[in-house]
Amino acid sequence: MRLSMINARSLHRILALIVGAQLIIWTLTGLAFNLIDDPLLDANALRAKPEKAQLISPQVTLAEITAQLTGSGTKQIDLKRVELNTLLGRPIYRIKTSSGNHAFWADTGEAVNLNREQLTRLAKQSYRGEAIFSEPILDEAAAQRYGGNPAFYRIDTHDERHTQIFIDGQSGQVKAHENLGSELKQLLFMLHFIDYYPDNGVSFNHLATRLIAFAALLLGLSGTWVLVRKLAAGDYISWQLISRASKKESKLTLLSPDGELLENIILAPGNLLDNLNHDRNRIASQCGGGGHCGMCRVRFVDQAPKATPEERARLKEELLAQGIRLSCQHNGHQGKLALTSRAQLRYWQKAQAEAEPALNPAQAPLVNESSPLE
Amino acid sequence: MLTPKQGRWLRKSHKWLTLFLGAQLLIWLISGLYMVLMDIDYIHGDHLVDDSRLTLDASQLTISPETILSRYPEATRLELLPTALGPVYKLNLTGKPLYLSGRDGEPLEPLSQQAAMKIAARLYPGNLSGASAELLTESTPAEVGGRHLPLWQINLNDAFDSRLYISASSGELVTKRHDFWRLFDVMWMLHIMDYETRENVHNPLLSGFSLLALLTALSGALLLLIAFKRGKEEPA
Ligand code: FES
Repeated sequence: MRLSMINARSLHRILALIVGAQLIIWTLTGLAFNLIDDPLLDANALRAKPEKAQLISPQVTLAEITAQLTGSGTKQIDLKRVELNTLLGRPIYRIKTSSGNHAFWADTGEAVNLNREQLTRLAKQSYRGEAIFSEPILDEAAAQRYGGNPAFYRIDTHDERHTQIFIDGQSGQVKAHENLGSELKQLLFMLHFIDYYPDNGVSFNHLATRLIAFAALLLGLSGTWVLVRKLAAGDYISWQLISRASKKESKLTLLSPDGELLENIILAPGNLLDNLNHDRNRIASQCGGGGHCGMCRVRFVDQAPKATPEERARLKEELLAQGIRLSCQHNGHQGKLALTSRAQLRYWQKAQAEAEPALNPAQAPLVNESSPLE
Repeated sequence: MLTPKQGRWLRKSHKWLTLFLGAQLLIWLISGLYMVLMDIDYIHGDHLVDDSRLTLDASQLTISPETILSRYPEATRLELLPTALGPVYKLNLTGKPLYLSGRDGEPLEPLSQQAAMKIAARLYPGNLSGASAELLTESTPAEVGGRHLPLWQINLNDAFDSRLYISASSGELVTKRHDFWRLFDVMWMLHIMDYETRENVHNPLLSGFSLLALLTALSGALLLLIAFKRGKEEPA
């Protein structure tokens, strides 16, 4: 139990080191999704709805087309779905079979394989507004991304959004539009989902994503543990201190390692280290109150509070027995506290000298004299 | 590096930010983990439907697309779909789709319970003996969304309360739902903090919390600069 409590803080630190960067990425990209308006990220910002034209009666029957399909292959082909539609003013069959997707012109019975002129015409049809269109460019990566046939083309427009139009030349379908906005969206998804291979679509079920999400949850749980412990210890609000403060001012007395009086300090709510350092840096610290550096140690002269897990991890048993504790781990304490080393005393003296230059311009106050506050 | 004052200030910020945000931070982590752990195809209920056996049987197609088209010349699109009850024509006329039987070209009758169960049995790879069917005509359940009425709800009555929804007008599968999907939906709601429509990621509550979460993460990251520092073992 105790061991696991020590580990809560160390675990939190170590996990933060591992997933901290991703946590920042998550919050940043989450915030971006929240704040950026949908139209800005819309891939189809300039996409025109296909016109609905009355169907043109096919010259070639479905039966002839299926005969052509089964005739070309050796094994039996199962039909899954048939569509009759209009493409570039001509009737077209789109047929889904167990072996893949096929498209045939319904006026000639030929398999669809769009030429450059047709591709460009189709691209223009799918686009709202005026732009210059590039020649169709074969794009294998896009074919993979959109699960298209090998004859998969990209047409670049030179508009301000850099719209790109993707067409499957063998199905005659405009598969997608992309633009700078949709690329940004893709990038945000990639970062948020830790999916650095987005060429096969956006996915968040990767092992890496899962591991990092799990580590992040552990980070959250260990943090919660620390937080709950702090709450219970009165580190956020201490009723004891509040009720004491309302009655009369409470002070702590700071002594040198040898037990000589250094000064009296009026207590405010907050932990002991903050109290000791609130107007000047009396006690050195490296970890800023994290219970890790061990530099903020003081000796409780009368009754020492129960040692926390951080202290048991950081301080030797004999030090604990002497009443030495980490001041960042305890609340303001009414009573006597002593510094634990010459080094700490020198640090305190330096702070005094810096804080009271008028009183002692040349030298630090003598250790065995009362503090000016006294 | 950080001065002692900056270190204290950061630690305090981190401490108070996590106190106020803690619950939502945990909710984000838990809901996020749930969503990445659950396979999205499973969530979509792909295991509840196997339509690989569903093919168009040309022998049952006694009326050709050309004949259909001559009867409905105003159609803008014609589809031929396989269903467990034989091939069905779907025509796009002005506005709404029209479904015709591939056997006789007549508009489909609303699906009977028996027919709905037959379709479900064809789609569902498991055993349907415990299943029950309910015709929904008044309102589409929230878990379906959109307007699909009338709708047959096939309750598989399994451990995860799995349901198939089949359009009573076309016999098409509209969607499938189960408890892991429902939980996913709740997790998504919690993740984007839109407790009403469950789809608005642009809500101001989320903006506020995300911004504070960013500060929490940044203060935590800066604290890492000093978090591993150690003092001398035994100061002299
Ligand atoms: S300040 Fe580092 S342990 Fe207390």
